[in-house]
Amino acid sequence: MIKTTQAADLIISGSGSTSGGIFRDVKISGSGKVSGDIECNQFQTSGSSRINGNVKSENMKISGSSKILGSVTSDTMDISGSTTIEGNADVKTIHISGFSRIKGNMKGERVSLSGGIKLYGSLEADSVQLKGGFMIQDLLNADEITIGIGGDCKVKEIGCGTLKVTKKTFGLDILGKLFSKHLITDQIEGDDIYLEYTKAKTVRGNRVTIGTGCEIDHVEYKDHFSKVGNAMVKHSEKI
Amino acid sequence: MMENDLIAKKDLLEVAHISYGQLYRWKRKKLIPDEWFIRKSTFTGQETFFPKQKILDRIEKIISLKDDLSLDELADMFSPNPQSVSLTVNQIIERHIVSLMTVDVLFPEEERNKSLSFEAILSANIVEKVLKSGEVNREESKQLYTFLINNYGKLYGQPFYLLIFRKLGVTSFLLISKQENYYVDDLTNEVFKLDILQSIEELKSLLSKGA
Repeated sequence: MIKTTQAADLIISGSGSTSGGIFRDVKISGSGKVSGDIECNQFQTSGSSRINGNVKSENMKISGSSKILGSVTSDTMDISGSTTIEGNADVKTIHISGFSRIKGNMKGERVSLSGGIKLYGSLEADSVQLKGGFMIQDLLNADEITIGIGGDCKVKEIGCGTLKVTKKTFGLDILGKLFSKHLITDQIEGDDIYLEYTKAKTVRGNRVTIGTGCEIDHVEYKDHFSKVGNAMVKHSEKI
Repeated sequence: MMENDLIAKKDLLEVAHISYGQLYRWKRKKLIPDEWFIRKSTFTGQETFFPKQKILDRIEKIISLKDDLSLDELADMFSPNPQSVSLTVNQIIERHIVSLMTVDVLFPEEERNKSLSFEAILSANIVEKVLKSGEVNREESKQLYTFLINNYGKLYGQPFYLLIFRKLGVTSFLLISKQENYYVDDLTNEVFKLDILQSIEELKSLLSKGA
C-alpha cells in the first residue's frame, strides 16, 4: 500500500465524525462516525464507532462495539467485543472473540472464532477454528476445521478436508444431558471426519468416526467407518 | 445435448478419483465456478450435481496442471477476467475465436502479431457474426469494429443489444439497453440484432476452454 505512506493519520477521540478517505493510521476511541470508505494501514477502534462505508486496511483491531456498514478487506482482523459488519469480510487472518455479526460472507486463510458469532453467509478458509457457540447460515468450507462445542452450534453445511468436532464434558453425565449442546447441521462432507455431540442428516466421507452424543440419520463412507460410545446412526452405507 | 448431462457429486468423486477435500478446496479457490454446483432434491435429500462434461474437463485440467502451478495461478487462468486476457491476432485464429476471413477484413498483415485486449477480441468476434449474417459489407464491418471498441467501456456487464439498420442503402449501428424501446420510420429496416451480454458470455467460455 504505497499511496498511504504519504497520507495523514485519522485520529478521533471523544465524539467526532468525519468523511472517509485514504489515511496512514486510523484510530477511533470514544464514539466516532465515519461517513464513507476508508483505506489505511492500521485501523484501530475502541469504544463505539460507526463506519458508513467499506474498510480496506492491512491490520484491523476492533474492540468495544462497532458497526461497519460496508465490507472489510484486510490482512489481519482482530475483533473483541460486539461488532456488526453489514457486508463481507475478506481477510487473511481473522480472530474474533465476543459477540459479532457478519451479514455477508467471510473469506480468509486462517480463521479463529470464539464466543457467539452469527454469520449470515458462508465461511471459506484454509483452516478454521470454532469455539463456543456459533451460527453459520450457509456453507462452512475449509481444509481443516476444528470445532469445540460450547454453546449452540449451527451451520447449514460443512465441506472440508478434515473435521474434528469435540466437546469438553464436565463430571456427571446427567448434567451434561440436561444442558446438552450440540452441533446441528444438515450435511457434512469431508475426507476425515471425527464427530462428537453432532446432530446431522447426512455425513459423507472417506474415513468417518461418529463419537459420543451424536445423532446421525445417514452415513456414507468410503474407507472406514466406526461408531464410538453411545452414538446413534440410523443408517450407514459403504460406497 | 451433452451440456445438459449432469453428474452427481458422489459419482464425480468416483469417476475423477478425487476427494471431498479437493473438491471443496477447488470450489473455494474458484477453480470450479459456483454456478456449476446445482442443487436438486432427490429421495435421499438434497444432492449436488454438476454439468458432466464441463466439470470432467475442468478437473482433468486442474489435475494435469496442479503440480506446475499454484492454486491461485490456476484460478487466474480459469477466470475469464477481461482485464487479464491478451491474445495476438494469430492466436485468436488458432483458437477459433475469429476466423481468417474476418481477420483479413479487420487487421492488416503487419498487425497480426499485435496483442489484442478483451474488448478488441469481443468486437472482432461480434463483427464476425455480423459479417457471416451477410448484412454488412467489408467496409461497414471495419466501421462497426471501431464503433464497438469505442463504446465497449460504457456498456460492459449490462444487457445491451447491437442493432443494425438499413435505410435506402445506408447502414447505421445502434447499441441500446435491453429495457429501452425504440421506434424507427417505415423506410428503415432492422437487419441484424445481437445480444451483447450473451456474446460476452460465449466469448468468456471460449477463452476459458482454450486456457
